[in-house]
Amino acid sequence: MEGDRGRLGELYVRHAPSSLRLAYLLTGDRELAEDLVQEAFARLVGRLAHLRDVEAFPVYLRQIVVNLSRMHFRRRSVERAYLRREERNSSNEGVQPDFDLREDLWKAIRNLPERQRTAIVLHFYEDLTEGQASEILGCRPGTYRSLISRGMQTLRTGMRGVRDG
Amino acid sequence: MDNQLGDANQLGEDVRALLQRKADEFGLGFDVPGAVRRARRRLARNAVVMLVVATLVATGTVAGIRSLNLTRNPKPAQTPTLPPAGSVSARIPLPPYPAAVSAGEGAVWVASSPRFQINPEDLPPANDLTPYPAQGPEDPRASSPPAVPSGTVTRIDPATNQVTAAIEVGGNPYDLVAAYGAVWVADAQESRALRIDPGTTETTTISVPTPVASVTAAAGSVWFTSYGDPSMFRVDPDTAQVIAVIEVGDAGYKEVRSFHDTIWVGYDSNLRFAQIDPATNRVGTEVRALETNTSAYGQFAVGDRPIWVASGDLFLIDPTTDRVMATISLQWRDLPPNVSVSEISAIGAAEDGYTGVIATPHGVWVSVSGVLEAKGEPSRVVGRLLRIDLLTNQVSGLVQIENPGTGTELFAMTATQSSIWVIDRRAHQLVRLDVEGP
Repeated sequence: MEGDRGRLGELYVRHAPSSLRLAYLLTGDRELAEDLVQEAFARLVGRLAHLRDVEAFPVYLRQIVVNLSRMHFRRRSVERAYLRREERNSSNEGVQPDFDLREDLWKAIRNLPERQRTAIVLHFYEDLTEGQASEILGCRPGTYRSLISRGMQTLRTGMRGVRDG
Repeated sequence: MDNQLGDANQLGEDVRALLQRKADEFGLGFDVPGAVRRARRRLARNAVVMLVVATLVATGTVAGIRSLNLTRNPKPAQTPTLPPAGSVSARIPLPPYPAAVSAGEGAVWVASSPRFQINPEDLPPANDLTPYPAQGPEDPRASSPPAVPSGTVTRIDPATNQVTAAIEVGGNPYDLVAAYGAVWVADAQESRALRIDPGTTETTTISVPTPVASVTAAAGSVWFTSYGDPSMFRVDPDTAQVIAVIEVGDAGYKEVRSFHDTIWVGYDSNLRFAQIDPATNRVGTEVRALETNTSAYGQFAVGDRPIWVASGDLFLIDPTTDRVMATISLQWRDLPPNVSVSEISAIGAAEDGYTGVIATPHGVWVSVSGVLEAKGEPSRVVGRLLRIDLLTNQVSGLVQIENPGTGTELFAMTATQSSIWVIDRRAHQLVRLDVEGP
């Protein structure tokens, strides 16, 4: 048991930073990202002894992080609270003098529907293959391509509005 | 970047650069050793709380439980504005981790699965992992065999509300249906299904190509969905043999539900549905109306034409047009002023996102659970059954169910002539509700 705790600590130090970045990009919330990654580790730790291929650990970890973030956003009340918080944040941002298109793009990504946002992060940040990403999302490769396409279309439309407005 | 942001051809590169930049910014502020310490503290705290609660429950130390505020019952949390739809007439204890319930063949049947606490979505698709109960991470199971409860099917006599048989079937019984003179059980762990004689409880194993996660009975056959392949298996109830393998959905978790001879499979987190034609053993109509919904994952029920999907809200889908015909809000509208809606951390969904739904002769019923929080009071996990008026597409009645010791988290349901039976998977109980009114 002690050995497994030590192993967990080692795996945490090794894989937590990349998982936190992924969780942050999926949720846009630093504290939430930390919670999700810790939850992911808690879920994985019991499976350590059964993991035949230790190299598969980051793959499982990434899948659980994505699933947890998706589950999080399925909780509609939490999502509503999140949107309210975003609303407050955006109203605060509105008084900042250096209006930044980069932040608008970041905000637009965070406001994408959850599946589109996840697909975009897996594609543009994780650089996963279609097969890997569609497996994580539990959809067909065609659906994955469609999610990216629709997400990009939404971003394009949104950013055009910002630029023109 | 900014100058080119509106250029469609550049947007992908902008997104890539921005995500990398945000990830880098995040990493700068992250204290890994601190996070490890926090994680360890949290894990240790959870382990201690679990140990204390387990000890108190095991010894029945009521005073101890009171000291933890677990039995403190604050003032009534809401003044219902909706009429009562029924009343609880029985709470029947179940083996741990009840997962599915079905009524038929003279009894009510419950499948309890040792792996039920694990969301199928969280499992990697490969069969690399052996089963274990989802507990605290400090559990020593890694070095010694865990005390895994066996998969069990429980028979309940609806005349007495008593458990009349507890059949240890092993594996991971994830769904079941009572029909055609037997009880049919889907095992999501091993490549088998089970046929149980409802009288003698004799169990027969049916070999199927993969583990199976969901089952229904329709059109003279029993239908199991594969857990691991994009397929389902049709079983002849007389011979208990697979007579057809049908390609449907994806390799993940799939649910199958039916109404008379109409069979629907839900997949992709129940965002997509495929109708199975029993005459051809092929997929007929496909429904994608919820494909872009961001808040699925619920259960679904089917009627003579519509599909009902409980997923945050309740969606009524017309499969002939592949359109959402109605969206019925499941929001908790009747809370008193001291319980703010914004403070409820789950509305219309259990903690991991499940809502249950069944279509019955008494109407459509939805099970929801939520955490109620009021300032200065302990939070409470409460379940509700909502009755939907099919004429107005509105919630027309409710029953609130609460267990002060464990909280209540409602899940799968079934119906008999005048009762709804719903699983409370926190209290490990089957709650019987006697239906009132239309």
